[in-house]
Amino acid sequence: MSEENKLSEGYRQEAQELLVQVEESILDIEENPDDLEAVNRLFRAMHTIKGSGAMFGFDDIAAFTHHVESAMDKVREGLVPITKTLINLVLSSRDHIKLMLDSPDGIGPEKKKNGEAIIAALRELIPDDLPPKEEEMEFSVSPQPDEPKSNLLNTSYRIRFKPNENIFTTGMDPVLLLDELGGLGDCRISARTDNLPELDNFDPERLYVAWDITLTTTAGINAIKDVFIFVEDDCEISISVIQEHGSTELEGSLPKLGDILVDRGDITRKTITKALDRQKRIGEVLIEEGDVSKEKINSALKEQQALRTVQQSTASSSVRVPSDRLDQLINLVGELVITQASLTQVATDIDHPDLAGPVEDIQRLTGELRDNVLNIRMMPIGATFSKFRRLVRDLSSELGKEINLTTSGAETEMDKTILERLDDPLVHLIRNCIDHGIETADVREKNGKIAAGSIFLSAVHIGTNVMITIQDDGAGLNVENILKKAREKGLVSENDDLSDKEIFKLIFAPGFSTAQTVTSVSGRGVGMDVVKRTIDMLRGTIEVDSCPGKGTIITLKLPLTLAIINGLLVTIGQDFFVLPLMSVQECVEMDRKEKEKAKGRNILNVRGEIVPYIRLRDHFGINDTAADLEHMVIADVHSKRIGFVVDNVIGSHQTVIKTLGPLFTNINDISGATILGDGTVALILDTNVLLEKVDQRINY
Amino acid sequence: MSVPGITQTSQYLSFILDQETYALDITQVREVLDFTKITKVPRMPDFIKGVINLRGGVVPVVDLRLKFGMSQAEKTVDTCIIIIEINIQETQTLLGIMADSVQEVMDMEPDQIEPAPKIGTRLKTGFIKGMGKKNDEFIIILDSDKVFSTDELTIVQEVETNVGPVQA
Amino acid sequence: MIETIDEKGIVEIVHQGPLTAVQVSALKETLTRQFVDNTGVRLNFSETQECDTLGIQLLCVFTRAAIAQKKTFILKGDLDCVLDMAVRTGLTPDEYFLLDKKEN
Repeated sequence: MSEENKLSEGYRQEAQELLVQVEESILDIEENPDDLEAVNRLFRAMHTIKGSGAMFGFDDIAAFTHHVESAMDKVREGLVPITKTLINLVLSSRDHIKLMLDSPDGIGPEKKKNGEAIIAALRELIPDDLPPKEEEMEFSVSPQPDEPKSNLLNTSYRIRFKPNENIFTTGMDPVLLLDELGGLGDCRISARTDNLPELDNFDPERLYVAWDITLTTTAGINAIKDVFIFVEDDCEISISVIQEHGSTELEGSLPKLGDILVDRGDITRKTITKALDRQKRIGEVLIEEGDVSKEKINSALKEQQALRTVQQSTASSSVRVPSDRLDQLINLVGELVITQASLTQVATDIDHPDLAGPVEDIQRLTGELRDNVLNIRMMPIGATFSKFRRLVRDLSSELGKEINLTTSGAETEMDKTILERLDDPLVHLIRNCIDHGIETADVREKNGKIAAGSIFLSAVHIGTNVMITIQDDGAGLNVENILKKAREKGLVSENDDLSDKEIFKLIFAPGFSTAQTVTSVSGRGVGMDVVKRTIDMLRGTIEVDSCPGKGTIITLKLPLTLAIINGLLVTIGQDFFVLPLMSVQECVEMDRKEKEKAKGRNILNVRGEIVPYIRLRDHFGINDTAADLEHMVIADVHSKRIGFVVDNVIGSHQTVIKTLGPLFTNINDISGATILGDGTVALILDTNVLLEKVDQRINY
Repeated sequence: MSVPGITQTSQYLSFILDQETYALDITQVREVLDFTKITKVPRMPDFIKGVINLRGGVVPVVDLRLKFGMSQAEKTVDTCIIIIEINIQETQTLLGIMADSVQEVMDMEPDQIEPAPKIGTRLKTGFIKGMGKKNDEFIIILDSDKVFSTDELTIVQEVETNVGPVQA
Repeated sequence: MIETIDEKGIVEIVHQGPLTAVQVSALKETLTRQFVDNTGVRLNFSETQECDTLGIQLLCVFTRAAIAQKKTFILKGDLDCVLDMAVRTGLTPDEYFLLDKKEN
């Protein structure tokens, strides 16, 4: 990739992320028109898309976005009310910008007209004096002169902020502004309490504290000014550039404490020179002499500290890496973990005291390396969730339904690959909820429900899995209809006696569709089987539960990562197996006497608690004779305690998952294989599937 | 008489199974390994011996003697595993096949190869691509696409466990 | 407010509810009174889940007043929201307040 391509690719990615913000903000505004913070966020995002767009030669995007930005500026100033039309226009603008971003060779004339139509509509809605034409031209050719570098360079700013003493009477807590500054970059806040009066003169409802803030950010000075936009009139605010990183010869030389104090106007140069003569630490001298308060020194020290950190950590705080490089890294770490295991094995065999230390260190380092590398791939599910807000909004209005989407657990992290592959299935399931699940408002009211339907999307960590649920309060699945259809399609015979749960499962059968009418929304019944297949491929499970008239709940369980797990190594006969350690709770011994006490039932009394178990030797048909003393590994699967009986428990094992390959696709209770230190292959058991098998056999 | 599809000189790797000589097209063969420890995968048919560790990868191994209905052989120093590349469910994948011993790599002209006889062999005619003849000895050239087809390989046996329904 | 006095004459007050602009005036009066009557105040925030900048400022003023009057002024209890606000406003807790850490 050429340097230029890399830059424009970087812009594309940045802009795509900003568009996500745009969408989130506008939907926030729709929900709560008073959310001024969201309006600001929206404005800033548009502003950056425009500014960087012009810089990287995306002139058409810059020109188009400029109109939207000016419109948002008016909204921000409160000159234009927030209306449904405005929100729709912003959403269309966002889509148009995305289209332009996705079409590097330019968009067709028809789409171009579309864009012009959006601009025209915006103008109509927000007529008041748009910037003159020439200025627009300027935007489309070159970046604005007053902020040319703000989007690229990491710059440290000194911000001094003294709020109006009565700021709290407006209901505004300045800490929110400080938080917002923190969101822009590396932010160090020092409070200045020198104005704080003695107790006798102290009015607790007035704010006397002021702040010195050192902020290092790439966002540019305008973004900082934007933070103070609502308070700037009655607060004292000064923002100045301390240092631009990565650009100046100043780099590498840290300003001296005295210089900072002089620069801030806290002290005169003369006092400094005098203090310096005393050959002590300058800060101490100045305090001793009463030249400057300790607080001011500390504040200046913090600024120095901030600059030092930035210089050490280079200019940027994040790096974009193509994901295939990351995959390669993960593969290498996988190999390393295997090699480390065999090294440990060899070291144990040799049993040399000099070897033990380094081998242990390598083991620890490998473990840390593995966790760190895997962590790089972990992403919160929130970005995926926020995409669905738009989906729900657009589809529900298309179908004339009113639907609220609520989410929880947006911070839940899982492997990027899994998240990406999860996108389509989730879209499909949510579309189904909107299309088939939730009834129209009049039907709902007739049935005594509130007119607006709701969809609840949640994600939560459970052991080694992430559980995602999609819950709607719609009509629920119609058992009769499903059964009828399944019989028509020959999926079940007339005589089959099926439980509700089994009937619900039928919707995942290939070629099954329950919709009476085929709509553009959820398609032609080619979806649910694909959803199921995708989830299977990710080693996940999907379950449906539904109550007629109340709604449907779909539960997905997915692993956190596809690469490496912590396992418990066990043996049965000559063979090695690995159980996922996360679900293991304890191991107990099990002798023949105890087995006989249960009289052939597969249950064991563990400290007074009855634990059902599965004897893996029987389950897998391993025929050599078992020892008198067997071991039971008790695991927590789906919040049930269940025992797995094996011959011996060896210990924990870093398990790099290798697929068994297409030959073994029909074996579902073995999820993969791994290679042990001595090169032997061990099989990884899928406790979820094993539990299902036990469930079928045990009736509680 | 020649075999359709075999039009030019090709190289074959020959090996022995129960005193008979078999051969595979050399383009499919990746390497030949000494016999190594095989991890059995439960509930697979007998002829799927299990999986081995091939330089950090997991590769399944089949025993063609069992697949072809012969008796199981004792391991000898000659026993080896031939790693071939096949296509299962549209994915290229490696597969190991156990052989009593490996013979040689040989050239064969199309006219040296005859179609499979309809009768008189121990295995399904469909598995045989042709019968090669060299030094008055017949060599059975396997059609690996058929022998190692998805249907032939992905059969799972449900083990009947001796555990009945229990009440807890 | 629940008040108890220990053997050193330090009164313990359990502050009820949030520590925000709404409550600061009342709390100032209470604390001023207790400063006069006792050798010190132990302010317990176990019942407090919310705190704003004015709340922190009040604590700051009383900490200074306590030093000036040679009184004890200690914060105790579940201080999560208070400490969080102190950090967010740059009033580093260890520099500005006296915390009763062992009881947390």
